[in-house]
Amino acid sequence: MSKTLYDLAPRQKGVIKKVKACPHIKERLHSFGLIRGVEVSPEGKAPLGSPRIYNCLNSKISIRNNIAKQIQIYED
Amino acid sequence: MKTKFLAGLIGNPNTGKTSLLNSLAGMYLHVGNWPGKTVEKKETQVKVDGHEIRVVDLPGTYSIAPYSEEEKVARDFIDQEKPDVIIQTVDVNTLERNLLMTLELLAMNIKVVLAFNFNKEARKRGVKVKKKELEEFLQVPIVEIEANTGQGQKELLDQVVATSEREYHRPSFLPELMKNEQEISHVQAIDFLRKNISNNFFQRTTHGFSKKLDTVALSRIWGFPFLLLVVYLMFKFTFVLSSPLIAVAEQAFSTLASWVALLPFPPFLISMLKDGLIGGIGSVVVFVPLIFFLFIAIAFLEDSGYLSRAVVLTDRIFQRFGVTGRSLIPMILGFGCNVPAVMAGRTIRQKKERKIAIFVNPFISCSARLPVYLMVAHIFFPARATLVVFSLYVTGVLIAFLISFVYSKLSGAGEESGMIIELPPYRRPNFKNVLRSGWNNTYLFLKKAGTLILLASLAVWLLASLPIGVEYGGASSWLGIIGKQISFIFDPLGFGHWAFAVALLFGVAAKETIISTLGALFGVGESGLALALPAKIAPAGALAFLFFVLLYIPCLATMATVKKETGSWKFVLGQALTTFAVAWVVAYAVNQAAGVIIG
Repeated sequence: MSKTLYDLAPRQKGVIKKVKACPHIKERLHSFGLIRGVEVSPEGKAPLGSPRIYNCLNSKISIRNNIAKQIQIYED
Repeated sequence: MKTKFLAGLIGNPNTGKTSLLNSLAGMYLHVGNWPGKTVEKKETQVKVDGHEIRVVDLPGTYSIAPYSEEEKVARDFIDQEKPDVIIQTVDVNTLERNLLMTLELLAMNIKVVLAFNFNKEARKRGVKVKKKELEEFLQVPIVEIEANTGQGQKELLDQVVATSEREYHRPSFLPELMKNEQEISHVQAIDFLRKNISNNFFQRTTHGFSKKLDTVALSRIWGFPFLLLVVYLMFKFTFVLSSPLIAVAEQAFSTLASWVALLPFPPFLISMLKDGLIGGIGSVVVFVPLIFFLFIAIAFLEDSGYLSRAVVLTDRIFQRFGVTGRSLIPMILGFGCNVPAVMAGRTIRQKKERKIAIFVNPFISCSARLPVYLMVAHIFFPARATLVVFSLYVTGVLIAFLISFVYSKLSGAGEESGMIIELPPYRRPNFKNVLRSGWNNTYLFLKKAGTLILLASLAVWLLASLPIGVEYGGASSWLGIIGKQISFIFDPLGFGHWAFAVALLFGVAAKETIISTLGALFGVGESGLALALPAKIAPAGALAFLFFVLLYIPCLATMATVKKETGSWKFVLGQALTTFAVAWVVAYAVNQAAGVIIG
């Protein structure tokens, strides 16, 4: 199993390896800058555990946990 | 030579697109809907050196790939109306992501002018943008603006004219980024931007201030209390400012009505003018201050950046019921008034979720229903009044969630959005924008729902006044006759007396009239109800009546707004039938259960 965005610990960084979501969501993730080769880092999570917030291309993007698990990463 | 140009205004959300449009438009902003769509359309005309530019606002999106209804609108506009140029607002703080859309546009052979915004903020944060170099490299004209102050506006318009007059120039780097004839490959595009832009764009700090605020807004301990505080302040602001205005309006209308009563006309005509027309207009006007101030509050929260935090904060709860945190705003507004709440459904971009939010909103107990609860609860359950009112509110919310869940399951998977949203940095809202949003929404309400509400109120008046000479809404009026005919429906619920049926019919016009109607029909006035009501129904029936009032058919103003927002009478009818059925079932259960417990 490859590591996903969901597995990233605070202050860790990762580079997106593959977005394994369905085409519709993949396209949306892409438009937010969550694209293969882009660096991301966790910025925290909502009090109830989901969604999580990631810094990507200098903006904060919030993604539900189930989607975060579909984004594979290389660890830095 | 051409003197008239068409420009589309596009941009990612939170890039100052609306501010730019407002400052370009001055007083002349045309607001409406895209034909056949429920997406808002705004446009304006601008004159610059003898040229006339029609600027059409396109929905704020992150991409022009036609996935959502809003993106389709942008795409269709470009394909069909063939604008001379597209102005794209760009937040220089997130330059790379913004430029992704620029590349998408260029790939469609569109002339683009980039309006770089938030330059001051960026400089403060240590972001440096080399405009000249970027312009050369991207082969696209760039103008630096400050959308909030109107700075750079003239320069931008000059550039729009100049670019419109030029031929489209395909940047030399573009071919190697293409996936097919019309689309770029995102992977290659972002790689290209990151490799080449960084020389002209230095970034140092992140948003320190925003980070600090988020430790409160999204805190495990303080997040929810803070949200409650914000909601409380929002309603406080709205009610403090709108109640005196509503009082003045009501006073003015009753004065006007008393003048009309002095006219030498037959009583029927007087009643038509007084109760029908003036009363009907009055019932539209009372919503105006409420809508105006509520939307000012929402615009303030949205522009400040807090709204998206509230969405993230509550998403987990909503997720269980098949929707997202975006449904929070309409739900909260529903406690004030369902009309602006339904209108606020526009903040939800997903069509299916928006429909659900509109559908279940009437279950949220609006402030017009409170006087009914208080009155009846105090008469029948003086010691437990608070508990009764509280359980009504909670039941409304629970039913709204339950029906959301059922609706979302029944309507299939739909477009699962994944709730991917951006949390923009906190910013000071622009005063003019906020005011304008209040005004735009009030205007839309008056224009779209106003006439419908007026017509419906007239119809109710007519039913209550015919045949001529009958006591208004009395037993022998048409409304009274209908009430008697349908009162058997309410018999199993414990309030089978025909007066309740008539009061409920009036309640469809406006819920707050239920009490005054009952008072009039029992011939005792509102103050006499304390003695009159217990003679007609048992406590269990009274409790069932309250639950029925909570849940049954939305008021006319809400239904008119739902019609305008969804464009579908079928939807309105489905909503009316569902709410009625739910109300009946719940009231029946309450009557049975309460009958056993309190006798």
